Amino acid sequence: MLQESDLISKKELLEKTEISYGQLYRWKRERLIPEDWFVKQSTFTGQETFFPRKPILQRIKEIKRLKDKHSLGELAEILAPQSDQALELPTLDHPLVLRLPELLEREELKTGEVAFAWGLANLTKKSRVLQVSLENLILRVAPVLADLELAGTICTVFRVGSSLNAVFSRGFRRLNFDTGVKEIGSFALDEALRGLRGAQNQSNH
Amino acid sequence: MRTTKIDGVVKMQPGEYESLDVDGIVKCPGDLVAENMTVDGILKVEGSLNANRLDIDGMTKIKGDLDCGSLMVDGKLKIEGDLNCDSLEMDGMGTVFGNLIAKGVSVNGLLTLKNGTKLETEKLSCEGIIKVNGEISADQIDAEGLLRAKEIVGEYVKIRSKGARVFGLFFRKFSRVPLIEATTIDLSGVKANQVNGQDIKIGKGCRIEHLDCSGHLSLAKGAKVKNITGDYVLS
Repeated sequence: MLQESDLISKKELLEKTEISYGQLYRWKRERLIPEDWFVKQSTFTGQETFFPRKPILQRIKEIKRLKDKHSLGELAEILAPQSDQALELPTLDHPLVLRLPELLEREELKTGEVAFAWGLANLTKKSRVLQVSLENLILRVAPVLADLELAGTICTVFRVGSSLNAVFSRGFRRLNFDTGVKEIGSFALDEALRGLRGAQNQSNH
Repeated sequence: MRTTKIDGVVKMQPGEYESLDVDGIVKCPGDLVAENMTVDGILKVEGSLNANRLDIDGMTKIKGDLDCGSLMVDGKLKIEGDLNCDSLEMDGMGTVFGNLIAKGVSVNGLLTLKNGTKLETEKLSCEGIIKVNGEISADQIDAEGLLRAKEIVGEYVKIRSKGARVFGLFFRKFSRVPLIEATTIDLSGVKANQVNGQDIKIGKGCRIEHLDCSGHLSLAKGAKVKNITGDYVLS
């Protein structure tokens, strides 16, 4: 159960984030802010609405960061939890993305899986990475992606010996590896999704 | 476009139609899809209905959901599921048991949402009566008729209730809403428990228990506000 200190009132939220009532409710209608984050509690004036403090502040920060780069519909896709999202395979002639249904043994793909594959392929296209290594990494990453929010999540790809690996973090933070690790690079999952959509739109025209 | 006209007392096939005109008493035991549809008679759909354009002058009852582009109701409409449409013009009587989500809603008749569901739209105008047993959320609300809802929230909320004339009857009553929250609020003839906003104008005939304003506040003579809080400038 959420403690009082874990909650922030609607009034304090608007003051702290400098957004208006209109923006808050528009983002709720567009499903950028989950409805169950609006927690009603009794006060002397009747009922007041509170929010889980950390998640809502983080979410509004992400929305404000991304809203000029994405439509509200795209934002809803980026910010939604992965578990109930299925994505139609983009109409792109891209070996790694096209292999996904066969690799994952299903036709329905999650947004995060396709975004990851796209980001990974673009990151490693100039490195000498075997297709089989990329595919093995996708198989190991797919279960992890289910619980990740795309917005604000960074994927860092690195090699330990002959094994290709990935770690996910929130925000761009410098990761320090030991000397046995070779870092290949990083990409943001939401940027990968945007790049994928852009390439898809180009190929559809 | 091929038009299918249905007259008499008929049980019609579920399925897809281009243009459908219902004049008789028609029952459809499944889902119906039509590009354009008019109902002058009585239509009962046991499943869901999907239409690009739907005009109802008679009576329509839908057990499932209604998904359509443009919906115009001069007669009577009852939907047991959700209503999703681009535009809704309600000049007749509409009852929805699920949620109503639309780009634009205009009500000159009577629109009722039951079951604690919500009405979400970009633009709402009302010269008739809207009763929602849940939340009305819109970017812009412009109402001269009567609104009853648990909450009205959005960007710009203007409710100047002077009563409503619906089906030849005049209803002289207040709009009653426990909570109104918006960036800009302009009220008269409204009873509310709580009004929160940035710029608020309370006109005559209003009775407000608690008001919180963070910008400009205007109170007319004849407006009763019990308790005011917030960092506001009185104009």
